[in-house]
Amino acid sequence: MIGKLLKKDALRRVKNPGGFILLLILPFLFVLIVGLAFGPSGGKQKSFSIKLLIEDRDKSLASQMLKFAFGQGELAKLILLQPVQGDTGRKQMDEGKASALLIIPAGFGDSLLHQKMVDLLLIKNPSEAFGPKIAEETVRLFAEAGDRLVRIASEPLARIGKRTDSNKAPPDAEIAFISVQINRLIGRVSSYLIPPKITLDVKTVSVKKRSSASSDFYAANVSRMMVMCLLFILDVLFRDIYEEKENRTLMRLRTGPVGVGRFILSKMLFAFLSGLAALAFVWTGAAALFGVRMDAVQLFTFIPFSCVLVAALAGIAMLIHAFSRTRAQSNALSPAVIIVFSMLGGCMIPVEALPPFMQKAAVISPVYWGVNGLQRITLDHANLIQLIPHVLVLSSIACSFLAFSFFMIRRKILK
Amino acid sequence: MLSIQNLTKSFSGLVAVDRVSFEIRKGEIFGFLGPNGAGKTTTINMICGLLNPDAGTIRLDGADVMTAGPAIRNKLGVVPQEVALYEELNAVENLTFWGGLYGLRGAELKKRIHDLLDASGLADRAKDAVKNYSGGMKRRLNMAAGMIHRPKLLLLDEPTVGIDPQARQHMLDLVRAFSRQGTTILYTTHYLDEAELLCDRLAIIDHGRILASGTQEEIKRIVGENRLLMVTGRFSRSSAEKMTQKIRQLSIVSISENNAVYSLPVQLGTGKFLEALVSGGFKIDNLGVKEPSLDSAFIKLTGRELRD
Repeated sequence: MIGKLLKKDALRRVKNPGGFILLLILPFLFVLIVGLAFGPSGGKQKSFSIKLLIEDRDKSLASQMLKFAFGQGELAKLILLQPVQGDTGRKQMDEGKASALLIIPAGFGDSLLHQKMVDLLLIKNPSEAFGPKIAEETVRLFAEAGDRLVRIASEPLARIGKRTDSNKAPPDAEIAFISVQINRLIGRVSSYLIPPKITLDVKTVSVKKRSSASSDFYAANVSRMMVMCLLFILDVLFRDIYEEKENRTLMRLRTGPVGVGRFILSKMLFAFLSGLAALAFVWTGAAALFGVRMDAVQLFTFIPFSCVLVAALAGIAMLIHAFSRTRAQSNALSPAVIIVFSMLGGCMIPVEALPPFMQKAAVISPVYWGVNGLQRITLDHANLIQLIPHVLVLSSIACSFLAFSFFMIRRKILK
Repeated sequence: MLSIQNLTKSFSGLVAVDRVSFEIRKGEIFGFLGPNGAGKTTTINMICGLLNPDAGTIRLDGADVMTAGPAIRNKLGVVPQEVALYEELNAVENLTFWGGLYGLRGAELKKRIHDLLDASGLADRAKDAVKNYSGGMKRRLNMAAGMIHRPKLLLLDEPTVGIDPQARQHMLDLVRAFSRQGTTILYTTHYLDEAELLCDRLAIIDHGRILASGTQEEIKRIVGENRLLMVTGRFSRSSAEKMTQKIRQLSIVSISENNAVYSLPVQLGTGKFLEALVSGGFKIDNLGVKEPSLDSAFIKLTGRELRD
């Protein structure tokens, strides 16, 4: 019986798809507009900077000078330098939080002074298009410059090396002599005759959790817009209860073998299935249009989470109609409730951008748990265990709101 | 087929149906006649289970409708006053859905749909969305949907309200066709001519109470061999009452402000009545004469015309 009611509702939607299609397109339009205004490739030109991590295992004068070189002039505006120690650099790289990691090996300064071969290690983030490349070129430039300097000033450097080995300060005359020699040599020697003494070893690490900044941007925004549009879609679907009441088809159904309970259940089930279909459609569209992709592990979390999310949102939409006495009341009430919940839940403005007291209040909006959950799946690769609080909150809302609304609407119809 | 005893329903203290009792025999068309607000639709809603009565019993084929469970609904077909169809769907899709709810499927359902569309003259528009139908076409499909599962009792709630004469005639033909197929029909209307044309027996209801029931002849006998004289104008109540002193056989049916209805034997003629009106100082705006009929019976029973 419920199957026949579902089939009928599906046929009605197929025959009159206008409003539904518009609501399905809305998330794309919103995300596109937001993308054009604030996104990775649009709007005002954003200040571009490269985050370069430097792990200095040498801590010598030479390594300090290399680090110092990145902080000079225009380069300082382009490259955001962050010294790291131990595993923190690798960790940040694994999480895709920097463009590149430069490791200055222990003994770098000594090797330069004694004109030995020395390797710098640069680890690049593959998910960024330009930052790592620029970092690589810059480090390579410094390496070559340093190498030339070592070649040209081999004799004075050897003298400095000897002095540092003996821990005796060179006399003033010797310093003056070394300086003069360096000046002469710089002007005289051609670099192409000399094989490099400083080499740059470049590695690209696999970033586990981050996709491209662009797809992250769209994934975050699709999550936000999708939840809000889902609420509107579910609201429209539950309005059908009023429509059937006003069109007298509900009355005719009640004179036949369909009870009020079955009728409401069919509407709930149809809203739930349509919500899931809408969610699937929007994510498929987002993958095609914005490159928002999910791997198998993410999908494994996304599918059950979507079920809980759609059920909770259906609970909210149904509750609005349970409290409205007429279609006019629900027409006035539902946009207000949806917009307030959506704003508070971070659909329009990221929760982090809200004032602190609103950030605390955001957790009372079921929308917050939905948006946050979707973003954690798509951006942080969170699994179901990590999303237990979200699932618990959403499933509690779903059960309580749907059950309460079911009885309220049933009572209203029978009355 | 259907037996109703002492059916009562009140809404916030207002008695909408007051101890209504009547019986419908198998295969007949039973007319339920009364003005708007008389309690016809409330009675129908209780029969089809949309409303619970405060008191009384409804028995269909011997089973109590209130306690028999949903299975008894299969014996009932309801055609609501307003069109109750899915306007986005076409006629076939609508009938397929309504038939499917009652367990019809496959070839049986297809044949039934084909027959009903033929009978209601909609076969050539079967694939058009209902929203593109005229009012009359929607009404016919509305009736076909009520008949899709071959109910034993078809409840028709004023099915011809608001449609043009041609569509109305088509609807009446359809009702007769269903009746010929053996369906028992409860036909509510406030059109006396429809009741006279269609109904084997009827009941007249007003203010929630059955005023008379029986065959048309039995109801007409309530008026007897009298004609009704309806006077509208300016006159006092006492002068209206004095008319019966001037003409002995004259009786008062009802008197209200500027309106009086009298009953006068047919053989007396109206000349003496007119003389009495003039001599009584009546300033007459309108004078109506009703020969013995369902209409005059209704006026005699309720004190007003059905269109009031």
